[in-house]
Amino acid sequence: MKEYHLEKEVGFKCDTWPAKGVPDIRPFPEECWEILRTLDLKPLRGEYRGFNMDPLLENVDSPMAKGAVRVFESEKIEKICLWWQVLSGRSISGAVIGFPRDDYDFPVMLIDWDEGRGPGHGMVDHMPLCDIVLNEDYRIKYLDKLDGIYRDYYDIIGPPSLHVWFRTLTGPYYSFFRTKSGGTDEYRQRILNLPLKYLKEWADTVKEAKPIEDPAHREYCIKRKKVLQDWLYVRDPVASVMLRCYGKELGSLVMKGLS
Amino acid sequence: MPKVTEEDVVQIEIKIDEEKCVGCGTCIEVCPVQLLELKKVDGKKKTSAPDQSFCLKCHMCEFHCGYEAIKVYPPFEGQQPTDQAKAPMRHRHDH
Repeated sequence: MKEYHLEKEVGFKCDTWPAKGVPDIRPFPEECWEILRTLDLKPLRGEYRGFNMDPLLENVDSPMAKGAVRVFESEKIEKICLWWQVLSGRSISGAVIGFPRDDYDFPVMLIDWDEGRGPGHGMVDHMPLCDIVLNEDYRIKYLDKLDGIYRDYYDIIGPPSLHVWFRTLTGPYYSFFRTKSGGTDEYRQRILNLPLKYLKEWADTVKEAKPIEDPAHREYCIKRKKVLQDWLYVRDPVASVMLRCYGKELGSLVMKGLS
Repeated sequence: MPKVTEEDVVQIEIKIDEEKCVGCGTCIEVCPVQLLELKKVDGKKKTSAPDQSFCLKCHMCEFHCGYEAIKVYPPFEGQQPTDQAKAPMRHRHDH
């Protein structure tokens, strides 16, 4: 049996909070952590963009939702969130969202996935930090490595997000898929393999990343990153769920951890 | 960690306009917690939400309804989807 480090090193595991109607929960957060733990992450503590992140060092608990919203940082990573929630005891949601520090321009890592007794959805992307029409070299350097994976999974990639503001942020290898009802069928396993492959590529990108040399490009990427983060904080529909489940104070903090 | 109680949880209400609802089942399909169900009203299928206590307020039902028959209150505060975004789900249950 494969050994995972998530519970010991982070403080929860995939079935810490059971979800009714979702049998055989795949250890997806464990599999994500096996990749993330190679990035020398440490917990993000104290103030971050006006919010005290310390409450997120513990698991979150409300009458409507239970789970973990852990945020980390490293030398190159400004913030990366590993998010795992069971909502209303019926729906599992997982996410990994990571941003580079100001001195780096590698893409934003995004995994978002939920499933319950009924169908769910998922998405994965390396969101470019700059315009990839004017900066085609950026796409070639950071994004085209996903081309082979994208083609291998092309058959399961479905319609994109409903939200136009979100589609504006996504890269050329953005993948969106719908999960079927809970179960261990081959389709479900395939659609969870896809984000793990993207995450592995992103981790390798981070390890190889060098600081930005051009001050103008650095300034531009910082500006765009901040707008991207603000949009995720304000516009992401999951904010409605977080505020409903956790109330305004903790719900806003959870959204800041994610965005 | 601040303790979250029932009082902190935002109260919601799901309203279904039975005149607009055609019973296509799209909202039922997209609800992540399977809160919604179909019932017979005057011989026709309509969506109902008998137990709203575990609604997540994700507004997926509202976003995907091609007939604007279901609303979740308080309203969604973020960016609204465009009418064009509603179209892809509608064609699957043409009446």
